[in-house]
Amino acid sequence: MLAPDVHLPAVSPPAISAPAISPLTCLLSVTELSIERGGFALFRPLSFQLQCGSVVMIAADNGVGKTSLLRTLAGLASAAEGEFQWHVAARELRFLGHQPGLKGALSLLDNLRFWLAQDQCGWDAAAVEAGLRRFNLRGHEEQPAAALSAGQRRRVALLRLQLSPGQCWLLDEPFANLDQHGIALVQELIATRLAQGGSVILTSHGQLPVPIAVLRVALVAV
Amino acid sequence: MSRELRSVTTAFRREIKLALKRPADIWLSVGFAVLVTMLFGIALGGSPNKLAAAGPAVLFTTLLLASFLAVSRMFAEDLEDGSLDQMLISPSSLTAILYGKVLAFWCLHGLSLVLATPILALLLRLDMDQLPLLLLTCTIVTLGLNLLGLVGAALTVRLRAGAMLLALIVLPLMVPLLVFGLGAVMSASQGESGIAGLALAAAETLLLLALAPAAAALGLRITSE
Amino acid sequence: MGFWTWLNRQGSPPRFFDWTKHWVRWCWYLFFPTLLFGLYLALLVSPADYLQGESARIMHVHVPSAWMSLTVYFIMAVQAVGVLIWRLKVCEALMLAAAPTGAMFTAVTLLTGMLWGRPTWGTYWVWDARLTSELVLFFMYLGIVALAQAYSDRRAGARAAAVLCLVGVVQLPIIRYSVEWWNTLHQGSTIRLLGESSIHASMLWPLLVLTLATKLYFLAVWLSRARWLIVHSERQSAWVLQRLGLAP
Repeated sequence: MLAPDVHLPAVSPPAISAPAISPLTCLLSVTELSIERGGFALFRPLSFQLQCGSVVMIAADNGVGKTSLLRTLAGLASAAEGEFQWHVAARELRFLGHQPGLKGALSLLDNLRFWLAQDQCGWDAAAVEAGLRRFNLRGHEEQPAAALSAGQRRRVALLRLQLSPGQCWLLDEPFANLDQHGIALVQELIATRLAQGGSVILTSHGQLPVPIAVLRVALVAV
Repeated sequence: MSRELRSVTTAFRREIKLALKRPADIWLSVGFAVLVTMLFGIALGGSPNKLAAAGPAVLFTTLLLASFLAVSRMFAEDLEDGSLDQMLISPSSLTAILYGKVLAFWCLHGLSLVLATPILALLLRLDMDQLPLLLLTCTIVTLGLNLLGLVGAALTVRLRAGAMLLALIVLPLMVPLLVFGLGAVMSASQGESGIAGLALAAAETLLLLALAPAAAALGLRITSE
Repeated sequence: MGFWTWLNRQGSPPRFFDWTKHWVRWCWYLFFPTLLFGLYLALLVSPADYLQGESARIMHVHVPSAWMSLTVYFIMAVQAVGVLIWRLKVCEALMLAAAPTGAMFTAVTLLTGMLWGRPTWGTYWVWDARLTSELVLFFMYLGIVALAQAYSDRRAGARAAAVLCLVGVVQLPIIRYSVEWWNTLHQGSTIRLLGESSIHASMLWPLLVLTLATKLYFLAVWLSRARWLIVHSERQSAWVLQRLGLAP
């Protein structure tokens, strides 16, 4: 199941102060995990490990249960069989589903403010400003989020990931509905997160549009 | 501790801000209450005796139904736009978030009904001397009703059966608040102090205030899928 | 092996299924004679009440049913704790199996109360404390059943019903008290369908025997329904096929 596409240049251990994490720390171990819908298992029991600084890609066709698996790992759903064990605190997880939790009636900035407050993250105006520029969202700050396009809404969610990192990201089809620029942004974000010692689990139903070294976990439909 | 408090205020401010962008929701609750009272007024034929006897009961039942209707939509938007998932996975305590949410909900939907109570009392020809006691009782009772509604909404959030199931679950549990509130008002109208009913309603509401958000958080967690 | 492991093993579905197999049968065997004896005492041996005449005999059915309707709810609440804390499948089955029987006892209480009320008060329904409380309790049972069935994921439904049951059990004393308080407010004194509080010894025996009968009935129906629920939910697993003789 290990199919690295491209080798990224070796990264030195993260220079973050504490806690110092060895690159080989296992963040998540999954043992014979199986999820049910309506009493029937969706896929064959799954086992894998997520190491610090690595990416796991869950690959399957639509309907096999990628999103359910991701939600289960995030703690939003329950598993039928098997078990999984996180070795990081639950507060370090960030989940980005199809719907990012954007309140349409509130402005973009307000949404960010509330997200970061809920993530117990301080508000750094300079970082927010820089992020808005980088994610091409300048000028839209005060608009109600409902007035943004789908791509823009996606980018707001990604901006939130950048501002309030958390150690492990669970991304449901992060490259869907994005243009070239957006895809490059996601790739950069993932690379930065890995370089800082975090990890990413993402789902995809096809090949990733950009080269990233992943541990590919395929769901086999039952 | 201050972290939890900050979570509460964050959630509270978010709900208030959201509601202020869409004030129609609040007006709908109030409008429904006035409408139902109007129907009762018409049905009772406007005779002062019947209204005097049935008035408080009609008032409290209307408040109960109006609260219940508002509560059935409490998590609907959060479910749709993914906020519910984010709340469940957030580093902030879910119970704290729910405290903020229900208190904001009460300020918006409960207190607005309390503010409409003088109009309802007028329509039902209630004794206006009792108005302060009535307002105080309604304030406490609506908070209790919203707390119960929070638990019910949390348990039924992902179900399609929706409002009718919520009614079946939550209305029986609302009986004490209805009875205590009515008892307070009726004792007062008979010349005794309404303090007994008021105290009982306050006790029940305090109990719910302590337990309901935690129960709702548990309900949200175990029914998410 | 440790005590908790042993306890956990005992609580597993196959074990539960095995050691309740005979209980159900014995409960039925004991129930019918007890019921007949109780009815005999109630209908023939105990004297007619001097105030209410023959209709007071219905108290012997009404009171045990009322007691059971409350007992069953508390039993469900205990099971709910097991469902929520330890996620035991057996507790889920026991909790959901008790609900319909509890609702039935509540309905019997209401019906017998109505039948008693007719000759006594001249009307079928009276908003007295007991009948009102039982009516609210009836809806609480219905709510639990409806909530559990509304979920397509059976286990999530059981967990949701467990939370509702625990919320209900906390509210239940408050509800009953509030209804009684409301009654005293209205009528100035508590009206009891039961009439005078002292019960003569000759009336006590039928009551006790019929109470025992209701408990036996409940055990029989509860356990057999719980067994059915477990078998149905585990119908694809090996132990079920083995017990039913469909596989080696």
